[in-house]
Amino acid sequence: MNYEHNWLPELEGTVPKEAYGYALSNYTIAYEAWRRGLSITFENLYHNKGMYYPIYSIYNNDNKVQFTHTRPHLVSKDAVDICVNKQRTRETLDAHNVPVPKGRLLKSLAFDQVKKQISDLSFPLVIKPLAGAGGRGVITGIDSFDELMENIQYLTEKLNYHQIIVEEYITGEDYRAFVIGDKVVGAFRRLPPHVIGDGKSTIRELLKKKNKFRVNIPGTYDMKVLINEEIKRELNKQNLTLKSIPEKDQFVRLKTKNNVSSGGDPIDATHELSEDLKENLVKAVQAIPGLIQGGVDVIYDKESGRYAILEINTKPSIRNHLYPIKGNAHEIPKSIIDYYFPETKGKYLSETTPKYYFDYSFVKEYLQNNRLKKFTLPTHPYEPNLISKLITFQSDHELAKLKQMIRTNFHKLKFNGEMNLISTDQYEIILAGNYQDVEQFIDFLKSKKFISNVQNEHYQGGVRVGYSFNYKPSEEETVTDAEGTSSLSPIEEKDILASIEEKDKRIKELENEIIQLKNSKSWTVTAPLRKLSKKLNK
Amino acid sequence: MQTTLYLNIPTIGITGSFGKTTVKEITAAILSVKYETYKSPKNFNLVDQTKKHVKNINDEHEVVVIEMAMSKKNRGKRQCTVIQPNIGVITAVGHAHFERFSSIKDVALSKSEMMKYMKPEGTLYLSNDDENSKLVDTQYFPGEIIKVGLSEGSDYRATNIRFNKKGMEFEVVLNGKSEAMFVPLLGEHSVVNSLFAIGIADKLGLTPDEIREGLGRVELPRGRLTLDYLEGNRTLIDDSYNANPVSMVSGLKVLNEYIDSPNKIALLGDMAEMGSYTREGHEKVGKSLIDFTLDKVFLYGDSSKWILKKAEETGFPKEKLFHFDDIESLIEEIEKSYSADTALLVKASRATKLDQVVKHLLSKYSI
Repeated sequence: MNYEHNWLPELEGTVPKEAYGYALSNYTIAYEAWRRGLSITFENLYHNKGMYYPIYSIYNNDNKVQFTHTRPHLVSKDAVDICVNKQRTRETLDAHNVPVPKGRLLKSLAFDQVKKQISDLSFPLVIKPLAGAGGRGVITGIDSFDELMENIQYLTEKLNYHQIIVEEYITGEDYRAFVIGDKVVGAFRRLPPHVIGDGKSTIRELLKKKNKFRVNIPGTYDMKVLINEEIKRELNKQNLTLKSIPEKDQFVRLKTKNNVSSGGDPIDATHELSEDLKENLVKAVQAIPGLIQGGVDVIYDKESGRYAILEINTKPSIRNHLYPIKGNAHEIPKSIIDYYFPETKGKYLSETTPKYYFDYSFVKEYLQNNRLKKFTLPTHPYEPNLISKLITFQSDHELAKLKQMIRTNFHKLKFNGEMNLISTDQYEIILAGNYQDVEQFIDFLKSKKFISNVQNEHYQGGVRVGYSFNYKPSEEETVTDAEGTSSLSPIEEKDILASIEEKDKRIKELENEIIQLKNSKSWTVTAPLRKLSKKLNK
Repeated sequence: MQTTLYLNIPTIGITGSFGKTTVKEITAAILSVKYETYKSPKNFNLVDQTKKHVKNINDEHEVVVIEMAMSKKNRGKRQCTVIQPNIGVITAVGHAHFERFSSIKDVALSKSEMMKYMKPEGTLYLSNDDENSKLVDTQYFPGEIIKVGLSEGSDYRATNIRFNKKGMEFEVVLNGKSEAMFVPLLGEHSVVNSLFAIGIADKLGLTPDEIREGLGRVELPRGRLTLDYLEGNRTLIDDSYNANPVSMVSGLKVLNEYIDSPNKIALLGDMAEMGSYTREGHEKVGKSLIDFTLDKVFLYGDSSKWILKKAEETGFPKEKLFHFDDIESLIEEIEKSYSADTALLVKASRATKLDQVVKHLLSKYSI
């Protein structure tokens, strides 16, 4: 896979692993606000589906906007109600002369009734559940009435959908556009799940490679293309199996559905939209009262210029706009914050500071497990003369003492960053702080007898705010681990030994306390009582 | 959130325990001979006022001169986060606002924020005379450091200091040549303050003539050691706006050494905002009185009792010392003593409100 893409430079090195995948939308919007000096509070909300999910507020002294995923609470409930109902969406858009496919909600699923209801629609047709999401239950390219009934049955019996929409199939490709206010900020097109042959590998091998590629992209991180019946069926249609070896550059389609979540590839297509289409995309969002912004799905045929708008998502994921597999990323978070906080437009604290970013594991670990109700991020560090350094050194000093010393200095000098243990005696420190403080700190490290080989270099990567200590074995060690060495690395051994020692010490302390307690006056005084209670227990 | 204003024109930030406003005024007076200069108004020196400068500085300005108070921890950082100076001045490290600090080292640390947060490649001006300024630890500052003062080894050093009726005359070496200078202000500290401005102007390419021209134009608002010649050969040195032990002794020195008058009286009031240093500071002044030839010393206010006590202890004649707690009787007594052919120094913090005395005398004796 070597598609060309341009992703956003501000997100390079500033998106922690925990924020990959679905969380990207939350993270990147909050991050955009944060680096403009706005405050961010995350909070958990219990969803009736039985889970905690994060909502977050972005605010300054004058303004506060709360978001659920990408949707601000300024979007009206009515707007959300219309958008979750694909039929109402169609009717509303149609009433505003926005092109939509011809179709309707089936009032009855009985054979004769269906026939009657679709009498004015022409094949091929598409069916989908009224309130489905993520492409679930969407079946396209239905060419006959029998096929239609077969698929309706599949939706009702297998997927348990009973409100079904049928509409005319529009030729073209699937596009998703993000609209806010009167602007189309970005659009991507989905290539259906596929592999491209190299002339040597089997489809299974190609798919494995593709998945490996996808997990390294923050956007598709958690969206592996899984081998299932659907893929086998699709391959079967093409007289292929997972063992087939496609020719070099052969495009092998794996599924009919295009959704990125089911393995489709997002490709930037903003430049492909006609002016006329853009106008109608904006009009579509504006047609829904109180909507403000949304992810608009449209089928668009570039050649003929024809299109029809299918639906509007009120909290679309924006990750595919940010990490298209091919083409340019579009600054959706910027457009969102510009819209709700226009006074902060272009005012980035991050422009003259090191590349700070914030942790997201708090959300995953604490909020979504309901260990915390709410937390507020530290504000983006901002002052003149901040620099960032990568410092490495060696030391066989006791780990706990070393950690304590570094942490104390981080706090005292108001540094942000982390200390990482690379191997038994090899450490690295990534930090950002005032340049004079940093120089002083390096001299301090050099002055310590138990620290040697202090090196430092200018650092351009992301610096996580706050302080943390991490055990980060170097790449090579990770690889050996992955190959299945079950024995402990020397460092883990050292850690475990240290913790055992720690426990032994603690137990001794407790034992001493007990002895002291027994010798104490109150213990002696209450002795007869204890004897009595023993007797009573017998 | 306001982002930092980084200017690519000379941006001079002036801090220090005292002398900030004066150095700012002198610097602006000199630089405006050659450059379109933005100068912070009055003694506006707080962070919120610095924020206002951001709005007022425009494309026409070629030089910016602003006073920046760094009178408590982090204030200097906040100042430089609003506008980052590329030329920094720390006039002195002293006991002003000492109620907020635990030691003079603390004060030095707080003034050092100028050095830490100004442009690293910039130029920092320090006093070579002030002992406490040596507490500013410059080992990690990569820019240029310029020291000014009367002491030997100063990069800009004043020599041959003389007083004439209107101000101070002195010499300073510029481009290897000794240049005669005159500033219409009183006291040696005014010469040091002028040296900061001369150094900055020299580095910014002004000629000795341009510097002389600007220096001659300096005008300070009343109450900052300003001089008036009044009816009946009376002389009034009004320094009732600000006070600290160093400047009080310096004021006495002006009265003693530079003013030519048959009779000399000093009116010294309380010095405020000195916290735990209050007693020691006043005692320092009391102890110094013996070094001056004065006909009478009037003292006013609670803290100035420490001056009284120490002066008596150190042998200053008791009969020349008069202490007052009540402003009306003070004015009455001063009036009696302020006869023709007398020079009077009025010195205190403005909280002590000795400007009332000044006003009264001016209304009576103005020519």
